[in-house]
Amino acid sequence: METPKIFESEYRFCLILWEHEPIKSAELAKLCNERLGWSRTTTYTVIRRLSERGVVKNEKSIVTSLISKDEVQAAEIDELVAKTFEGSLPAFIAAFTKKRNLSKNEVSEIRQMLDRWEEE
Amino acid sequence: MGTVFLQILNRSLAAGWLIAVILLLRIPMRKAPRWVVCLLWALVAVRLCCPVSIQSGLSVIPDPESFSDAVAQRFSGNGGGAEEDISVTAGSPADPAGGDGAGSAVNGISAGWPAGGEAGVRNAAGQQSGAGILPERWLPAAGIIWAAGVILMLAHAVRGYLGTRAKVRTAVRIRRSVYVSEFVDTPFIFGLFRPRIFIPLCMSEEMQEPVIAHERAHLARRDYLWKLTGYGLLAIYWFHPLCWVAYFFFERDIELACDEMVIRAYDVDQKKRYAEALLACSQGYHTIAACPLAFGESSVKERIRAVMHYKKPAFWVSVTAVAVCAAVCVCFLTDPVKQGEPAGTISQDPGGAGNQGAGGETGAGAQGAAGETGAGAQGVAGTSGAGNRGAGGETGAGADRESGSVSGRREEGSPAGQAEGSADGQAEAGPDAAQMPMGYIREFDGSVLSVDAVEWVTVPGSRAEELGLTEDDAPGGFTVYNPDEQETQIMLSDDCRITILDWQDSYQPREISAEEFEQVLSERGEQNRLIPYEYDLEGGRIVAIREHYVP
Repeated sequence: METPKIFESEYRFCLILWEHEPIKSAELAKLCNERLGWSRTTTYTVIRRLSERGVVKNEKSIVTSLISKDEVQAAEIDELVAKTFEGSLPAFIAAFTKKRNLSKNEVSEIRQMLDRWEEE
Repeated sequence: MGTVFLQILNRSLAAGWLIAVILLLRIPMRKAPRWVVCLLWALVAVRLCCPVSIQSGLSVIPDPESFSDAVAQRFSGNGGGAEEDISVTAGSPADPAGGDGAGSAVNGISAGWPAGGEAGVRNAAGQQSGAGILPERWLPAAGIIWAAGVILMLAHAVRGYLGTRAKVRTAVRIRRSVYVSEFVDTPFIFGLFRPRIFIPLCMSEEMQEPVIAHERAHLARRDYLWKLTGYGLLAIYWFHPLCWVAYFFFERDIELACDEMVIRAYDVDQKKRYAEALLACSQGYHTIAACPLAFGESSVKERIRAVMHYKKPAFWVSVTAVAVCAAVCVCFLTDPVKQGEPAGTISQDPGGAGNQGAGGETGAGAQGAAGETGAGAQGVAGTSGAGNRGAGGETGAGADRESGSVSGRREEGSPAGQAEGSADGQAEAGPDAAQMPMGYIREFDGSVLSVDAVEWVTVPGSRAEELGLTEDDAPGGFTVYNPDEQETQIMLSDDCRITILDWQDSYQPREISAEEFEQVLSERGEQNRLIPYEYDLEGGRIVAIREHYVP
């Protein structure tokens, strides 16, 4: 399924949601106000927009997400690789490692991921 | 609507001079601290806002009257009607050197607008520079067009506001008063009561610093308020091209002033980074908008140059700049001294609805209004017209209407009270009354005339309204108003021309000599008691007498 597009500001909102869901919309609004500086109406508007797009669900003023953080992040990467690296994931990795050096932990983590993936 | 527009037009003309001067002053003042220049723009705003202006001999503003009379001459005969005798005694506008206090206030006599003319604008029309430029006929239409323009400008601002508000609603706060939004292209300030800084998403930490500093400077200087005021004024004065120019440079100067404020304490490295940030955020095209105080808005090149070459201005430079500012203030925020008023008089904005000549103000005491209207008064010689009101050159400050140099109706040597009272009464007569001295002849011995002054009032009319006369008082549409029976003795001049209407010959006008007149009067006897005669005065003597036809 196509992951719906999420704007940057909405992404930050989702981060809060993922951290605290399920959560009452009023409380969510309060959190957004503290962390993002949003007014209550803004939060409600965003909730409405995202539920229209199928990203979150708002039932009886309890808000839950329909798409997980992993999915969204994956979708972002896909778009990034497709656009900037012409679809080549290795190119992306190479570019990534050029600027930053991977720590020992990160290297082993990645190796484990690759192993797991090969098994599937 | 039309009259409001006229007021606005007048003010804009005066302000226009100020703007032109400031534009010129900006060039030598480039080394001066920018906030001084911004002050000058504030003066413009004051000038545009202020309905009341103080008169001073130091005013440099060309007197609108002299200006408009030249133009009015072209429009003379507009609307048809009265024969016009335009004598423009062009005094020169107050000396630009600012030293000549007495100045020579202009006393122009405008083209006489037709006597029965439209109400409202038709005050001492020449005095309205706007009226001089704008023929009366166009005024209502012009007023509507102007109002439409104002509405358009305001609508544009509202639309911009609403659009921006929607865009930045989901902006995320990263610092006190600083928000970041993915929908924002360039840093700007938005919000009236709680103005906030908005910056675009992809700005590195390095760049954020100078940008935020700059925007904070804007907040500190309350620039969002000044810009809004400026736009508001622009909305009202949109028809004046110089106002747009002024707004453009005003925006620029604000940005430069903010830059200065920020980099005052910067070293070279910091300045470089600031300049780089400027470059990165430059938008290129400058738009005039009410809301955004965009970082990269105006003339980035000029600003980068200013940043890199910034040197703290020497003390004397600042002082001079402020002095210049003050001088400009005096020269341009004050109006040239108008005839009949001493310098320092605070005059109301000329014009506006219902300022019917001097009719609106009362009595000779109202030197203010009277002075104003006197200057541009209806000098319609010829058939109608109150003789020559205020004709002849006036000498500026302190000039008195009573002074001998004013020829015309002033009856020199006449008993102060009554005749003057009535003369003034006639001076104030509304547009629909005959304006010249008129009276019943009580006695005539061949050289001295004894007159009981009266006034011819058409009903309905404004003068009739003033006097409380109704149509019952005036069958036939007119009445002769005789407030008192006091008689005045006036001598005839040697070459006095007397014109009577021959009662035996179907009231044909006939010119006769003084001796004949004496005879005619005794022939007419009692019947003559209620016949009004017009007369012209010069130097305190009657030079012409005309019998007035009574139906």
